[in-house]
Amino acid sequence: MSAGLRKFALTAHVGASVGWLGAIVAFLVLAVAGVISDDAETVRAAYLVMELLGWYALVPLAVASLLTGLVQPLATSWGLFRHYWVLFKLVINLFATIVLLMYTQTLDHLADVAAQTSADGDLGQLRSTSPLLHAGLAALLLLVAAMLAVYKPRGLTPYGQRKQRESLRSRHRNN
Amino acid sequence: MADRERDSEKSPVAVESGSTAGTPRWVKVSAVIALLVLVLFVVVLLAGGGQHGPGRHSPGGADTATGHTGPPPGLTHSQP
Repeated sequence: MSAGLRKFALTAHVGASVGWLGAIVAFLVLAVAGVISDDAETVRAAYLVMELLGWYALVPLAVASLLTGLVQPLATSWGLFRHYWVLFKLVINLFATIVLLMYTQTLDHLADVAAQTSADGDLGQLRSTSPLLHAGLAALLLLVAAMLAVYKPRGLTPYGQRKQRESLRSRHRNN
Repeated sequence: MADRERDSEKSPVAVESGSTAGTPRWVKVSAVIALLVLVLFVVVLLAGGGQHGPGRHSPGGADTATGHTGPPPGLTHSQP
């Protein structure tokens, strides 16, 4: 892969991942508003917008982050299963994406309830701490993934150690 | 600061040069934390009657669900 294409792939991955984290922060603001706001219209709007944000920002950015992350081993020599920090990032990304895709059902449900609740209806039927909890944990996971990407802690997986030995052996043979 | 800049430019070779075989401590600690979180989640799930999903998250319960799943209508589309 050429250097230009490599940088483009990395930019796409960083952009999608940072965008995902930013969308989660926006989602968190709505989740807080849904729980604490006294205004019925604001609470209803928060859950309706959360559904839109989930489907049209969180899901596309999560999938983009995962796919562009899977391309990185082709672009760099870090590999996908050789270093623990890369493997951890992959697991975090995969786990967060799967949970998000499953959670869209809850977002659909909450938006349906919000659409059915009248302006003077019972807000207790609508308020839910679930989006707050899920978005908070998602933000925490993505921050951990970002830290792993920046600090790149040492550690080769057994597969990475085997590959390193093979590489050293072939280099030794060539010399 | 210089150290930080050098770290951000780490290469796979630079990271692993001098590393010893075996699982690093940070991996073991992370694995234990992940396992504890998983156990905690299962305990909470079981304590809640094994339910986790749309019906459970709303005080209104599953009765209020309309069964609609999938992306909402287009951003500019308004329902009649």
